[in-house]
Amino acid sequence: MNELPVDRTAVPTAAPRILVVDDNQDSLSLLTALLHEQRYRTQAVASGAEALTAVVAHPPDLILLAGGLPALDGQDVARRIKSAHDLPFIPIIQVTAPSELHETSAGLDQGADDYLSRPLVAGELLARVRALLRLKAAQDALHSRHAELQRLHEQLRAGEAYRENLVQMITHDLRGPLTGLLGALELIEDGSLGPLTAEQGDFVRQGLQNCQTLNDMVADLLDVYRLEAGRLELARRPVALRPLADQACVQVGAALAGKKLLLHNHIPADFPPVIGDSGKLVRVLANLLNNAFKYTERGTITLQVLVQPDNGYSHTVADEGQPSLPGRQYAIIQVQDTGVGIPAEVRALIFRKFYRGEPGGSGRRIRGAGLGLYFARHMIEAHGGNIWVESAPSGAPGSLFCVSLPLAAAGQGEEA
Amino acid sequence: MTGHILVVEDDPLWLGVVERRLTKAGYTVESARNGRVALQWLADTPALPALVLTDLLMPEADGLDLCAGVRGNSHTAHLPIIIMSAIDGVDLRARAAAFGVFRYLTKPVPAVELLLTVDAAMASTS
Repeated sequence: MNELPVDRTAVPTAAPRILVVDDNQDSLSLLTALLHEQRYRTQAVASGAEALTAVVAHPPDLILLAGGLPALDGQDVARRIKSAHDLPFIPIIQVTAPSELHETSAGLDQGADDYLSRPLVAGELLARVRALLRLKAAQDALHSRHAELQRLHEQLRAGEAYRENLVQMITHDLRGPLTGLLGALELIEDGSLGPLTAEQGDFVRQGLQNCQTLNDMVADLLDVYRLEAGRLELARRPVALRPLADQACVQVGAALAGKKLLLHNHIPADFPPVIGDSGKLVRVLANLLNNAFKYTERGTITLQVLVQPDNGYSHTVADEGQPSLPGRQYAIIQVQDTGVGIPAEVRALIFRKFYRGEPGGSGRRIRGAGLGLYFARHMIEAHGGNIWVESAPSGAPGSLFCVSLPLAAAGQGEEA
Repeated sequence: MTGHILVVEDDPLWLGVVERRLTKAGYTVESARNGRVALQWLADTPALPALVLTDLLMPEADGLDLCAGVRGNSHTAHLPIIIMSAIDGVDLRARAAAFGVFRYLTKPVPAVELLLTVDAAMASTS
């Protein structure tokens, strides 16, 4: 990364500084006088070697390579300056004798930015100087803009690393205590510490399930982060849906306590397998069930499934969702509740991060960080499916959440 | 199964659960609250354990420091190590694998998984 010389960044309004190279003392005096008249600052040197030293010590804004240097030597000086990567852009005007004019095209290729041939005309010289100084100013502005972007880019990268650390620490700090809690409750629940009464068993089991829910929320948080960072890895295998749904139902069972709610799993045991990461899909279903419980006081929650040749892409919001793959069959898993329902105008919002509905607009607080449906949407889309919500069919109260997942191709049976 | 197991864990609740599970399964347990204490005990003990079961993130010396210490000492280099960690990631797993750990378990670890893994590690040494 090139550093801008301190003198010019610190005093951006100072007059441009021009290095004049000429071994003829009279010519050198004339040129510097001419430039001084125009309020340029100048530095005068008499040879190519001195010029190179001066440029490195204190890079000028422009170089006028004038007399005393044969054209080829001038080109050498120009080439060396242009190829020094630690120098900023410095425009070079090379002055040649008329006899050397044939060299100029080669010289332009080598690095001089412009040529003037003797005899010099003051007006033309100054016009060229102004033009090249404008170019220099534009280049410098571009350069500092580039440096600024580079800095911002590095800041963003540092921020990303910080976020990664933060997520790791949060995960560790939440999971650590939960691990002990789950282990201890499991120890009590399975009778390892002595027999339990029926009531003790019920409470411990509910406690266990709540811990499991908390643990799943931590896992959701971590996965959402990984999804957003594009670093989630899915273990895709053929997965039977019935046991998957059963597992989700067991996990969320504790949330049913105290509600007059029935949970029906109508997914057939012989339904063909889908392709996916079973651990993640259980959490997606558990999130959908938990969501249904939150907004349903009484009635039934029903899980069912059907096969369709498309993944419901047309139900998703513009620019979101995953298009269907041709020739694929999809399982559409439906979670239907008899709850308060979702107004059509917020259906696209509920899959956003931290969105939380108020049931019936009553203002009652709903538990949860609002990450569940966001997690579900991104996880399902990562599987090549979609998630959307409809009104419950045939005028029934409540909502119908639909999730599509690709079915395993024929012959892709479930692995043991 | 029988055998002596060193459990290194800074959370007393989870340490208590693991001790209870392993004891109930027939093992004897030595516990240490971090990697430094564990390495000190390994240096002093006349009878080495058959297995090391360790957390990763701990104060003073963490689980990877412990792995390095165990592998770096010819008396303990052969011991199987099981990691139980609340954090997981490809790079952490790679670093653990470089120490030849027997298994990398992610917390929370269900009792069944804990015991099956410990039994398998013990069987691998006999």
